[in-house]
Amino acid sequence: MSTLCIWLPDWPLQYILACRPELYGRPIIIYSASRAGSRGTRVVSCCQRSCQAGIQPGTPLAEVEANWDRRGLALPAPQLVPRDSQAEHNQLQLLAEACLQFSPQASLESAADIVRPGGCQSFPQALLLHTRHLVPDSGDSQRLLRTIQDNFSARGYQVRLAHAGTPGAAWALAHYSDLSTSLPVSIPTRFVRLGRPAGAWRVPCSQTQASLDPLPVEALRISPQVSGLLHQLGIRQIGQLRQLPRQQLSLRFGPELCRQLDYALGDRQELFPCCQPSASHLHRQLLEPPLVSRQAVQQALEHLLRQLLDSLAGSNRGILQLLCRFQGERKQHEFSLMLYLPSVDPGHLSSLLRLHLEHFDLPGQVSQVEMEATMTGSLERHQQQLFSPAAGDLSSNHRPLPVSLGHLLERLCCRLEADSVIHPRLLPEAQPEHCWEPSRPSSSRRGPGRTLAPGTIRPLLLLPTPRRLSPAGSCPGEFPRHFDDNHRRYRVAHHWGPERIETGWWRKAAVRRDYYRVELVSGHRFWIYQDLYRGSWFLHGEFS
Amino acid sequence: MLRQPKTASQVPVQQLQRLRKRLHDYSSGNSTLGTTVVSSGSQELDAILPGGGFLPGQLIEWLGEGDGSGASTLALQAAWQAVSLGGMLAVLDHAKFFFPPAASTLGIDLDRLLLLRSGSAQEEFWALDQLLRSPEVAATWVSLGHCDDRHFRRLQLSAEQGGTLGCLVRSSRMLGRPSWAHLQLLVRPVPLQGLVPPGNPLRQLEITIIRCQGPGQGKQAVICLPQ
Repeated sequence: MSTLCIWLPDWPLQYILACRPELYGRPIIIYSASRAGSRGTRVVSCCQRSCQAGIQPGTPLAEVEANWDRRGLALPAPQLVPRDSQAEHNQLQLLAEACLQFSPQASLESAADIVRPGGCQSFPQALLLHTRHLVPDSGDSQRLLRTIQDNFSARGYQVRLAHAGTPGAAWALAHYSDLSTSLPVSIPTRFVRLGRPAGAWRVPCSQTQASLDPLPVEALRISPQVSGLLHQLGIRQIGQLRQLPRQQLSLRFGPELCRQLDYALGDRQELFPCCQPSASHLHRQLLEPPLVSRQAVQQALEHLLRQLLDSLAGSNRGILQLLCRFQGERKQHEFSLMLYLPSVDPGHLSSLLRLHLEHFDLPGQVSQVEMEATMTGSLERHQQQLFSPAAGDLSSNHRPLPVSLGHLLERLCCRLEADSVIHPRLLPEAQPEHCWEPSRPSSSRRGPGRTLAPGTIRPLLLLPTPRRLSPAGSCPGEFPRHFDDNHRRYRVAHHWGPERIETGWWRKAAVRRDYYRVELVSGHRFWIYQDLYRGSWFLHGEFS
Repeated sequence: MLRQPKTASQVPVQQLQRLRKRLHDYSSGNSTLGTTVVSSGSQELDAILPGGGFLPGQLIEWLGEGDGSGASTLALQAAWQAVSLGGMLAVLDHAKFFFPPAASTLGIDLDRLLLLRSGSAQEEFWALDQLLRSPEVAATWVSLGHCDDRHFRRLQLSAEQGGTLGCLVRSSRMLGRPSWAHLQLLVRPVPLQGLVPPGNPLRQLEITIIRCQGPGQGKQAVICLPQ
């Protein structure tokens, strides 16, 4: 029975990044309360940058807050996110349901205590698809792997895929295969910052044993106790294990080891339950005759919205992303609304739809309207706090966004372009054009960000393109007494500087500039620089 | 139990008293907006402002004399003072000139700064109205060009409704035009005189109250602007 395994490495981290894409590029640490018997909250998952700062899964959160960035990497404060295991599980279930388009049978792996690359994790983070209709070494198999890879990438997830003759072999290959043997895959650049690289493998049924032999014994999905015992005896690879007599293996290590080995090699059939698709959050309405009026389309959308909210009723979940499709005469048009907080408020959602529809180019005739909740979130109710957390308190990072502010941001994003509503974030760059970047407003408070060095002076208004100035009225080697541009003459009374900015050699054009603050005889102040490569002068900012 | 209907003579008297009180508050500069006074960030400026500062819900017009006058920085500083009471600082930057690192050097927490870069003047006005109307936004900073009387009045009502301090930075060419701002301040840079110290000399600005509710019109102050 051929099986395809889809592993989502660092699943808690990937889930958070998919829900909150604005967190890409920031150090992220996901924590949860420890199990009974141990104290305090601990790190469950963290990104590569956090690992560079010495954080590992299992590190106490108190230690993170106390020792962050002691290595002097000048990292911004980490985003501390509490783990929502139920939401993760629900999302994985939704992904399994989405995989029903690739296979009639898809399921989550069982969540036993098994050792994965990166440690022992007892929550599911892989999907198993029955692909009995496909032979792993066929061309169709490769196409399927590529399609699934693209599908998950489009949803914002990085996956490692393996197609093999048995579920055990597929699981082992997806988790422990060497990247050098992977099929070529295209990975979006934003995934590079995640810890484990993506890959895809397929192994023909006849080569199952050979492909498993070099893998570590942990690839058999055994408990940490059994794998520890095997390591003590010097048995590290499945190939070594396979050469030992089965009967003695069972006596020494218990029945679990032989059973898992049989599952992987296909000597015993492994059964796993298949997920059932839940109630669909897709609603559509055929329009006969086709609608041409925007107002009528708006009414149709509101009708579908009511149906959608009815289907969500009782699930304690709200809409996070809403996709609307309009069937025109020739092609489909669509737009999606991204919300900051899950909502089931019909008035609010309806007003957002109206705002978006005002600027959306509808097809001339709309013959069908579809509405789908492509992402939902649990409707959380937070206990109000008597005392507000102190500013800069790392533990306050997960403080929820006030609902009214969330609604305001959603309205602004709907009416304006989504990238018009931004949170500025400083970057460790000296060149003014590159020293900050816009990021999507977060659904929660971020930690204290980077600040400029004390004593740094920058103008409040910076020209997007520096304006060329013509200096005049000075002897060679002296600072110019006045500058001319197309519009006016700047008579300089005082100047301060230079501040040398020489950077950007790794970009297309390196810069070497001497910046000056100048005060005109009228008292107005500007920020100008001399390009040291060409000797030209430019106006770059206004101390307005 | 049914209420007794008011007699015809009672209603106008109560209405008149209410209107008289509002007129008195308006002319004396008393707050009909809120009671918490927000400092402008400068003691010298607070000293000449009616009430000793700004009130949430007010529209303040900062008229700068030319580019590089310092009016924008002063307005941003005042807006940030309002955020100390809670809420967000919104910056509406239609021209895409606003440079957030400079705001950071003024001590503004960028985590509490929301930057909006609208595409058209119509969208800018809509966004400004929404921001002023929102109680979650403590202050809004905007570089505002032409705004007709009707739109200006709407902004004033929105600010009062949301309790948001609106800092409108405008050119001094708008001086004398009809305005619904509660305060109109003219900002002129004062040139440094004599020997100029090296490094980071403080900058001086002359502020004149052009228009305000209550006493204070025509008062002047010279303040030092932090760099």
